[in-house]
Amino acid sequence: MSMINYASREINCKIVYYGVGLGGKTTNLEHVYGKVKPETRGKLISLATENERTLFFDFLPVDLGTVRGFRTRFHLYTVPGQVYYNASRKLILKNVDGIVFVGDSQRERLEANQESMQNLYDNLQEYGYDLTRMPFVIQYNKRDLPNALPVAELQAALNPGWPVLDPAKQRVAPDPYHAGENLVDQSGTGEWIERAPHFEAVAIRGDGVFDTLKAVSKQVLKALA
Amino acid sequence: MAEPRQFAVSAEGGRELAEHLSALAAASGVRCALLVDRGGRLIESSGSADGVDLLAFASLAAADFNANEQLARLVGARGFRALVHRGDRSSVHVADVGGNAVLITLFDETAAPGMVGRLADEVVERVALTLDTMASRSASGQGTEQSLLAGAEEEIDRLFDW
Repeated sequence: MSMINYASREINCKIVYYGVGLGGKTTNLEHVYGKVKPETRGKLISLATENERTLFFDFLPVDLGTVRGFRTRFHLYTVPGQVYYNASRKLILKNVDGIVFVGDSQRERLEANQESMQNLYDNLQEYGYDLTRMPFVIQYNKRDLPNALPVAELQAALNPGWPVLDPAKQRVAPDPYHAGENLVDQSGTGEWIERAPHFEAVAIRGDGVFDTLKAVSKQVLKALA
Repeated sequence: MAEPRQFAVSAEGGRELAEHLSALAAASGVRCALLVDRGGRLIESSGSADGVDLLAFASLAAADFNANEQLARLVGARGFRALVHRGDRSSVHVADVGGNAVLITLFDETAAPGMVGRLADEVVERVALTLDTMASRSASGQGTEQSLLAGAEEEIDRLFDW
């Protein structure tokens, strides 16, 4: 739930980076922290174990500028990816405005990615949120590794799309981030399908990190427009 | 595309909240009072919080309260109405506000936790009333809040031109 504060002239939004353990969620935030101007970001808070695994969450507030004279402040959170931290993960999703699912491209992590995606969907549902109706992007991280699956396989497994039931939305919508691809399209059986925008990344080098952040932040603000 | 989901703090509501919080912040030994939504976003603050990173503080306090609420449920309670963290020189009182927000009071060793708790209880009631009124307005789309970003697509696009 975005918060527009007319008294302080601020728009506050919450974005959560979700996904499997060791998938690169914290690395995304660390890269953002290292690259944005110090005056536009707050402290990076990490509640981590002694071996630097996220225990509860990471938190980074970032100012992206002003719209209509209102300062846009995005609160970026990560969740712990390890399966047994589900209670903590669910808590961080409270009042979320946008989701980045950070997928691990490695072949042997495919099943874990799928379980994490299902877990995301289920946890959101408990708050009454529908992943298919909220700002949501997918990042395929670790594209530089030799065992990375082709994006098409990852898309088929993690981003197969959801049916578009509203007739007004049943029209081709080009993917602004991938020439020649569509976010809304008709399947071979005639069914209209919508997919989440996706990005390839090597977060440890910073590749794809800001593209992902920009896309989800833009979706969040446009959802308010 | 997502359905718009937002909570608007109106200018008038913001002033009311600031007044409620300033009554608490003015108490002897209280450094500052913060109102934070359960998602960790700072709604309003009052008092002197020099040296305190309010955004980080708000985020951590909300997460802490949410986690404790789950702990309470694990032991069969509905939740904790308030939490007190006592330190050597600074202490923190966190109180639930209608399940949607928390009121955080940062106080020093000269203030008694019991006194802070009583004052916070009084403020919680007033804050809850103001928040309820604003939430009703947000939900019903009254006022100008819903249209703030209407037609601002190009401006939003320019925001990401980097």
